[in-house]
Amino acid sequence: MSEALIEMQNIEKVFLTDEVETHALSNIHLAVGKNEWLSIVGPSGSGKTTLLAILGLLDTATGGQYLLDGKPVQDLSPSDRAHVRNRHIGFIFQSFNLIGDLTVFENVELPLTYRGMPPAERKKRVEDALNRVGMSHRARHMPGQLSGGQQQRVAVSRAVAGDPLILLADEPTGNLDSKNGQAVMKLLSELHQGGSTLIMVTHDPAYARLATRTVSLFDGRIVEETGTSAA
Amino acid sequence: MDALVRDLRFALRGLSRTPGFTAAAVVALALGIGATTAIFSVVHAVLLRSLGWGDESRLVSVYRTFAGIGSGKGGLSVPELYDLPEAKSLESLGAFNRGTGALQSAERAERVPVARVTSGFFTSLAVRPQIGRAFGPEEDLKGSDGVALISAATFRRRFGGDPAVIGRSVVVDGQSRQIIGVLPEGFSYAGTYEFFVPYGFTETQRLGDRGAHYLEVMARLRPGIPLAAANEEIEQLSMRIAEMHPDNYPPEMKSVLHVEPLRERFVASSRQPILVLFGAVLLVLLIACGNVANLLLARSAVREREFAVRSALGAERSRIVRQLLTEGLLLSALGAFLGVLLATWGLDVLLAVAPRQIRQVGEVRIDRAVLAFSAGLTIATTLVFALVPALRASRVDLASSLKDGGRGSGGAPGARLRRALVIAQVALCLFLLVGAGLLIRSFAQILRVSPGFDPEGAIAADLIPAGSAYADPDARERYFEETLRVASQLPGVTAAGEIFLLPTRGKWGQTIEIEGYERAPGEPLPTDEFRSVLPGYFAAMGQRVVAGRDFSAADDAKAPLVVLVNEAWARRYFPGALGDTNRRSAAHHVPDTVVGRRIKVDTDRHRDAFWTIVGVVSDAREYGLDQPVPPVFYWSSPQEPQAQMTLVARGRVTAAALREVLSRVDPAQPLDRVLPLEDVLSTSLAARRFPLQLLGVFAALALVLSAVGIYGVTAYAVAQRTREIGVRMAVGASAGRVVRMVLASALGTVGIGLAIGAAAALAGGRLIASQLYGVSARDPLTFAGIAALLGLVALVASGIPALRAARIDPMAALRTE
Repeated sequence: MSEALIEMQNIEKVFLTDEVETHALSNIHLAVGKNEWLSIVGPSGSGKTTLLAILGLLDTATGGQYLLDGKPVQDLSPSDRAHVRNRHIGFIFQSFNLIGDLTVFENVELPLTYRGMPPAERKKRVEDALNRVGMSHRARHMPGQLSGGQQQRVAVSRAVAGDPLILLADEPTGNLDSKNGQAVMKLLSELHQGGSTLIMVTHDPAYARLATRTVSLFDGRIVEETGTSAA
Repeated sequence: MDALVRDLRFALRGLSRTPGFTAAAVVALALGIGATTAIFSVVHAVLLRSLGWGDESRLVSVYRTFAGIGSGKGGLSVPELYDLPEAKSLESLGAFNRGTGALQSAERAERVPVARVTSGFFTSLAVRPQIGRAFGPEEDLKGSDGVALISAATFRRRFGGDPAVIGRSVVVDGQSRQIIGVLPEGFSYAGTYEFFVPYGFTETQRLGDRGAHYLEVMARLRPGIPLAAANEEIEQLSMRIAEMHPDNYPPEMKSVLHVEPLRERFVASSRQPILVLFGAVLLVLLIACGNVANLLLARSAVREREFAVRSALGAERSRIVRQLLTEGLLLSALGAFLGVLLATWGLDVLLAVAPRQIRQVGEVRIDRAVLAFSAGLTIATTLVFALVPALRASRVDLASSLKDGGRGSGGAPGARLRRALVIAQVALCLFLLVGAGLLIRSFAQILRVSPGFDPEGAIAADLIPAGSAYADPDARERYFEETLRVASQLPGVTAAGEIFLLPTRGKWGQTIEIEGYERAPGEPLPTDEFRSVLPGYFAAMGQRVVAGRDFSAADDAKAPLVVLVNEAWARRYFPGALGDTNRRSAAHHVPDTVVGRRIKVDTDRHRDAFWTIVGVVSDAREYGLDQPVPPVFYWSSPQEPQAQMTLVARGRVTAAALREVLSRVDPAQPLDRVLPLEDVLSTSLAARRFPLQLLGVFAALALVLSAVGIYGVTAYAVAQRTREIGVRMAVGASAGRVVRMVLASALGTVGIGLAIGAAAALAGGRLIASQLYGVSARDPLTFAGIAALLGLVALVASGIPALRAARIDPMAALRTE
């Protein structure tokens, strides 16, 4: 059994809108081990993205306990959360979210600059990361000059460049055609085989099946879990 | 450092990829920073910069007041200058008078700026000649005064910078003077002068001439003496002097000497207009900052996802704020660079139209202090326009911003902030426009004031006969009479005359006693303005003789002493005779019983003589169009000659023709100031016109910037609501309804700004109240007119995007995500 990298106990997320409480997530218990690949599936509005945002410290739970690598993170200050995101979490978004004014190299370099990493080490890491996704020949290009598939490969490269504990992918193939989608999934598989821990939100059952475990959300609750928990 | 360089690189790249935004922001900032820098350079030169004459805290101006007759600050007499060394608090003192002199060369005579000074002038200012020596005390006196110092510019221009100039002679005003020194580079005092010459006081002047208060006196206090202590000592000294010379200082006149910081002499009259202008440019700058803040807010809304990505990747808030502030600083720096260029070019224009008071302290230039101010301004403007957008951008909702299709933050808080900025811009703009509007209305009121003479179709020529040939007053008088004779005979001239001190050119008073005028208990003897005229002057000016008669050639030096008075004089001293009016005066009731009365005036030529009033002339605005007409009495010039006169010739004659004929009387006399009477009047309004013109420019700038701000916010709002507008149109909203909806939103915002601006302008009107004439600081017409103007501009600025909104294709809009 792998060591637990993520432990969530009774996580809740409640939105207050016009004095009406909306329970986006309720009673979420989740454990993710190292080198595990977890898929989160469910219909629109089931809370997948909210759960991923809480996992990635982009949002905070309104209740429950969240341990990341054994440390509680639900009460961290915004600055500490930014620090944890920078050091331990890599994001892959559906819409790539590359910064249009920065080159491919600079986009991949960006999280490393926030670490205060020396330029020489940054350069090496970025080159390695781009090599891993086969995009080193496009290092000086702007994102606008790349296809969707290439942009997503750059986004993956950015996510892994900092060697994070965990990769979070939110519908990573959602904006891609099937050919590019498959290529990105192949890349994620390679990363997983290389030892990375992945949590992926997806609509596509075929891609979900690539994961070692799948949790299904409905109406903010985990209603089904398939595969084997590594934690 | 690495991070800073990277921030700068990204900022540069980002700005270069949005040239429209960058150009709009940089131009707005350049206009604001440029105007502020230009005006600050004036503020710095006039109000802040060291006078450059050593420890300024010890430099004082000595002046006299006659509190009993309500006279303002005046000069000192020569004996008083020699009394002052008794004061222990003064280390040194000197006197100065600006003037001109006729510089004689082999070919021609030329009028040049000449300052008359005492030896103590240079000692007090701690100024030493760069070559040669300054004046010694003995050279203050007649007989030893044949010396001159020259300015550094004159040294270069006239003498080729040759040090052998020391010992050479020049002829100024007919007197040969040996050049004994060259003043340091850049030295100026109350203007620039080519020659500095001693007064050459006579024994009579030094001991007895206490009635002529014409010396501008400055002094240096001894170290450690506070101004208040010096003032107290000087006041007590002046009281002792008054007790010793009761004939010269009647107790009822309350004659007292005072000291004040020397800077006050230069800046007292210009401080308020300059500060008003400085306030105005700061408002323009704030409006420009509002515009740029609005642009940045709109831009940061578009970039919200970028900030969310940065944040997701681990950028702390401070890091994002720093990145945005770097962009802001870069924009400001570009704006400041362009602004300083604009200021440098604009300053030449500014100084070309600036009145003399602004230029007399020293050179107005863009120097290190001004550049430091601009740098500070750049940082301040960055904080004003970039901080709020930066803080807002750093607080984005990460989860929703990172979603696919997540839109910029055009949400309510951002929209509210942008509206608030437009409200502030409109309010500031109205405040500024109302100020400009009130001053423009004041100026229009002044222009409607009749000067009391007809400036059209007349030419004025200043006659200042100089040289030993004119040392005798009778010789000067013969020159004046001859110039008048030749001018009168010039073809086309219908009337000509001469006067000492043309209206609007200054004040010159004399204490008089009036026969038949009962002074109230404690009322001092009146001091009234006097003028000397040659026959034909009133006809040439278009002034009427409303009672009695005009002067004639018969009123010569040998004839009985006679004077004319103006209507204001008659009304001031004999209002009781109103029933007995003169029918020739349409505007005023003038007692003809004034004619035949006598006044007693003590002059050098006629000690305690009685002068008979033989006529009353219509009033002229002696002190300027915006000042009340003072009581004036006129001498017949041959009976009381003056050192200089101004000839006025009316008719179809050119300045060149008049100059030509006048120069024939004595080719050695320079005639440098021959100009239309309209220009004389116009020059008198320069001090008012200058701030008005600048304020007008700033107000126009504010209006344009505000219009751009209103347009930008409305256009952005329309862009944000494209989908909503498409839905409205799809369900049946007409184009007119869409236009009304957009306009209502925009004009509602403008309305709030107008209300706040009007309230602020009502409260702040007192700031310029002292500069208004014939119009209240709360003038409803100005307020309504300016509000209407701004409303109209807002209607046009918001109408363009409103019309664009009405042309939205509903189908296309509904497809827009």
